[in-house]
Amino acid sequence: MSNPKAVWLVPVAALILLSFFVPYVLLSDVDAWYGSMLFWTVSTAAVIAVNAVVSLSWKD
Amino acid sequence: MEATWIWTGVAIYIVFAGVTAYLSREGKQTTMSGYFLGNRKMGGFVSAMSYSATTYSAFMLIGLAGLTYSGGVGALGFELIYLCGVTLVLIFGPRFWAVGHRFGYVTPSEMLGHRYDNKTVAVVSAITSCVFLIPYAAVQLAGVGYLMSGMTDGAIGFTSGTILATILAIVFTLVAGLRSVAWTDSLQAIVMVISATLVVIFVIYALGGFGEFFGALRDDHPGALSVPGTGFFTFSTFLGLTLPWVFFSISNPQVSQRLFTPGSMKDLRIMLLGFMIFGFIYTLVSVTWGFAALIQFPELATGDLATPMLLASDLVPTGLGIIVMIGIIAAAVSTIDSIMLTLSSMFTRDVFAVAKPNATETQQLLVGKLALPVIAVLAYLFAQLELDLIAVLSVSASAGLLVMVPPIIGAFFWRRGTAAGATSAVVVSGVMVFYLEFSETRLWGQGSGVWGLLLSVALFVGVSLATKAPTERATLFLDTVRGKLKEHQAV
Repeated sequence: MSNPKAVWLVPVAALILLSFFVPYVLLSDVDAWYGSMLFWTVSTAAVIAVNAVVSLSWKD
Repeated sequence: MEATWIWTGVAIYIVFAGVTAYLSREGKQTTMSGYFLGNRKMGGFVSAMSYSATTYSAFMLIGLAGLTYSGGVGALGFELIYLCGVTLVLIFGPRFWAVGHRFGYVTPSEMLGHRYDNKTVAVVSAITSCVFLIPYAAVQLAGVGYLMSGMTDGAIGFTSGTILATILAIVFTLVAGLRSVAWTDSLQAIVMVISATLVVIFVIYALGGFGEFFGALRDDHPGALSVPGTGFFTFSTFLGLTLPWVFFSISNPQVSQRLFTPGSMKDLRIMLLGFMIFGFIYTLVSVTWGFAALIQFPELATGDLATPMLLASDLVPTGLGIIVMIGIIAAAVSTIDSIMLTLSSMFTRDVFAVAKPNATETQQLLVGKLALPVIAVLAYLFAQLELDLIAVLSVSASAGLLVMVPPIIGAFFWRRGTAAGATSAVVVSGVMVFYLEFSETRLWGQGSGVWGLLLSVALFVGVSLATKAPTERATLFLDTVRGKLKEHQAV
């Protein structure tokens, strides 16, 4: 892990774990679009953003 | 739908895809990497679209919509967690790409064989890939047959559909190898993401807008927007489905081989981000289709009918419905031809070239090209047999290939990994996954992938520690990786 941006991988791992925990534990009673659906959509968008940021430093 | 419409649509598709495949040619390919990897010079955008078309088979828009119809929003979570797992490409993409350039690997199994300094590792992982992926391709072919016969009420038979898909897959691979596959994939992916998104816009508009749409779900289908919701997505079902897919980007050779192909790190980046954005849109579209079908046709016998019913309904203009239907058939072909290409390269590089070490590149390439139609015909024959065994292997493909993950991760991150560890992990865990799937056993309620991965980790680590590591090769490989990552500023 020679790149300081490697630290960004921690929130990605956390978001993936939260994607199991939050919908099944915290949002299991929220039966609406602003429940699990919004959580998974926003967390995936955040993961894509992290990928964009980390790969920005790739050089040829 | 009238068979004439479908045939007309298919004919137009064949003309466009045929011209695209022909135009993709770039001189005569005389080497294995030229033919199977596009000379390691593929552009970012085409790579992204082709990666998308290869990953998302026909059954994304049928299967995921169906899963949403039957089980609710858990289907979205399952597919989006897979997409988050593609972050593995951020870690492994530059590594595969760098060692591929340095050591000239054509297949991921060749890489493992070289890294663990043992050709058996390459042979075993190539054969395991064939065992799981040929039936997977067969089921894709059968899907085209069912879809075409279903769409036309039997006017176009099951056999005609599967023969058509087989011939197209052979032609698209033989014209120019990866280049023709990648360009026809891209055509399919672009048409599909645009037309499928248009379907969502039409359907949501016809159902009264987003407010009405979610209101109807909340009022008429309680549990559709939460997990476990209706009870379909219990946590263990969700975990069993999700786990194999989190690692799909490195466990499945037809996609991990693509990490060798981009022309530059910039192209690799465009491939990664392009695919993620494509997958994000495509997932939301498929799930919306499933919910729309649930609102409009709540009494369907099976979720697999959700997409066909929606596309044939008044909610979608006929022309658009036909484009999407043809797109779904093309999606099956684009998945099959990539799998054929990968398996053929694995057979040639990891089985034939090991059995006949003196074979030249030209001889290998010839064998590879001959293997392509053989693999296609095998898949076709399997599709015709409609055996239970084929279905089992196909369903267990993602769980079965999961057993390769520990040796792949170990190749880059664990100096002590050995050939015996890698071989035993793949063979023993692969057999166990197959047995669990075949006997429909769910140990302590968990899917076969969970047990396969755990056993594979245990065997890889345990057997490696008990055997002698290939120190010299590991040092060469890992030093190369370290140097290249620094040079390209990758994590």
